[in-house]
Amino acid sequence: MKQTRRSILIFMAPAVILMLSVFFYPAVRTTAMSFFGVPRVTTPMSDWTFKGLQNFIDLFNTPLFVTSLLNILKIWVFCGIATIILSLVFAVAFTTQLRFKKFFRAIVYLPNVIAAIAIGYMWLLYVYNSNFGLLHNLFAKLGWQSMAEFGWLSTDHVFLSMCIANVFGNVGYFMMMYIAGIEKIPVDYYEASRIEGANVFQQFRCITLPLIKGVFATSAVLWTTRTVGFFALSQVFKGVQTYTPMLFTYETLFGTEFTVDINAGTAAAAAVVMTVTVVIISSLINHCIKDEAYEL
Amino acid sequence: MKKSISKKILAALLAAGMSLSLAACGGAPADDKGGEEVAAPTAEKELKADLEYWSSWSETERQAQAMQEAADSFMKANPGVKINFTFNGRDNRKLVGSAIDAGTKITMMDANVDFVQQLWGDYILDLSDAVAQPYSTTNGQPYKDTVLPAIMDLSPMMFDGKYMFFPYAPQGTMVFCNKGLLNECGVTEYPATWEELMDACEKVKAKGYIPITCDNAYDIHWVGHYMTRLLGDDATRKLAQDPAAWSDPKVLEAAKAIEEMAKKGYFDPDIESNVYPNAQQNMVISGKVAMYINGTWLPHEVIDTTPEGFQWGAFPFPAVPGGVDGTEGGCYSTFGICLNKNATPEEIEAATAFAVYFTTSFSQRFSDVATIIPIAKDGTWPETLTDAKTVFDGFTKRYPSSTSLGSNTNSRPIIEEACLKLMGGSITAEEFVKSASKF
Repeated sequence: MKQTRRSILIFMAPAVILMLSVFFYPAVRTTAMSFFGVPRVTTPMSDWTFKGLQNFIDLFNTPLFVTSLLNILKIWVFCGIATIILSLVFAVAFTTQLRFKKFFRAIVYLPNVIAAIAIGYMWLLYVYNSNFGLLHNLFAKLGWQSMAEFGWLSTDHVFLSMCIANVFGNVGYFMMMYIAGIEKIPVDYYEASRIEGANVFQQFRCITLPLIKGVFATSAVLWTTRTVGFFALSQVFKGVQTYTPMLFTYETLFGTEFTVDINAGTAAAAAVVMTVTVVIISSLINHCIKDEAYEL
Repeated sequence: MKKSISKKILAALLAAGMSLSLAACGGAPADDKGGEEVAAPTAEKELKADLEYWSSWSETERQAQAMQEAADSFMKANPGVKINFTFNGRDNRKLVGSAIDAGTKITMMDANVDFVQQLWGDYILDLSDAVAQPYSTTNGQPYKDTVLPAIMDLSPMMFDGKYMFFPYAPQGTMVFCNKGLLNECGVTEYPATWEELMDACEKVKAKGYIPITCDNAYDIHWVGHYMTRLLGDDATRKLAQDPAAWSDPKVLEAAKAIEEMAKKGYFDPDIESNVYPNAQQNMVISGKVAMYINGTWLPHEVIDTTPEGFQWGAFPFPAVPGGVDGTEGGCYSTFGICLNKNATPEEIEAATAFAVYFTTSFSQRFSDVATIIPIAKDGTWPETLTDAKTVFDGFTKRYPSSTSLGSNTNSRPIIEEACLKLMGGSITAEEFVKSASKF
């Protein structure tokens, strides 16, 4: 079939219409909503009252929201570093001649096929439980009493516990990305370097790392979007230290189990702040990490 | 026009009320609780409507199963009526408004009435005429005279004198206890004052048991109840709204009382890391925990793990020294069935008939299946809630669910965390006031 402007338009139309209705329209409406007083998300536009930047001012004067921003920054940095390092280690290990590597890949990836909320409850109820949790029993068996009595879910440690669960749930996903990146690198490079006497670490530093820079950039952007949308584990590991902007938005939009002081305008402002943050960080990452193609 | 619609609705309600008559009760066993089917009344004038009922129970909960049983019975007696349930769980409160706005057909919906008041006010029908009518299932009495008075009075309190829902599944919050354990420790009378409570805690602790436990879902209750007893509901609400209100010396006084309890080891050593439902399960499984502030749903929630012979007791949060409120105040509420104000007169007629049947002649059956408080004034309470009934009957002053200390979305997580740390002994009363007021 000859490609005409008309046929291109016809084939693109479904995707464009979907994009416009599912992404573009809600984004524009949410942005507009953030400048208005809107009691409920379904309040008709005719009942909106213009507030200018007041929703944003209110937002940044709400300590809980500011705390949630700091929390998400900490999650982005600490969990990000841990996830990327662990994913890389697994990716490198599972692209060598290791036996049963496909099996191990599947095991590490497995948490990704389980809903985050289920992962959260698994950690909460079976791993961290202070009476019969895995960690409690393990340390008690080892005779390490102070660790057996460690309050994994206490207000001071719940952030750490949530981060461990988060990293556990994410490593497999990023590992697969890095494996895909590493497997694209021609084996000749490694063979040549081996003949030249390079060891595994030198190969990793001088060949693998530079050649998966593009994957790094992509994974960093994906990590950012996943982190800003951090919600399920924050719901499960409840606390001020684990409170995230997404949870703030949700509770401001729909209320909680006990409170119903909802405000769709403020929730929209919080959503806009998160979106702008993602755009800025993604642009910075793409600007800083340039993918350099290699030549065969 | 408005007047004629309301007249039509009134006529429909009257017709429903007049035409209902009770059929004989069937004898088929209905479920594993060994209950009997409660046959629904057949309307003399045929009811004809398709009802869409959005409920706050989850499909697997006994409440939902009992509700479906009631609907099946009602549809059998009134073949012209079809009731289709959508069991949304507790998220129902968030979903109904948006769904109606989006044009989804919803005839009836239920939720805790605190949410009904704050979220559904614009969508629901005034039922003041309906609750003033006698029905065949109310033995000729006006409907509102057959319901627990404290619960029936909630709607007029919330909606400027109007009755906007048919109440069912009332709930109250109080101190639940392991009565056998308290007796073993020599606590034979429920503590009515703070001193008596401290004395009871001391006796329990001396026997090597845990006096008080709590899950993170209820972490605001101890402090919230103390504050409300001491300062009253309005002042406690102010604490949730205004950080400056925490400078009141009485707030520190309340915090010091809780700090003292923590110092004496009256709280569960794991209280800071108890994630719901760990503490409540531990209370019944270990049998080593004496008290827990919780709702009347507690015995039902742990029914599967409660050992035989476990004796549930309950008493109101005690009066505190210098407090403005006594044990007459408590958190109580109810679920309510509402009708969409835009439903057709036929739908309203059928929905009213079903709601009346469900909250009158089916009320006891619902209570038995779900182990909850029956809404009928003369209903028989579940055995596990025998003492809770005494507490409930004594409530004349209402606090909102989990007290007003938790009434602000933006301050609640901050106050909750401070409460947990105070009860866990991680912070002092002064530090509590400082951290709880940082919102």
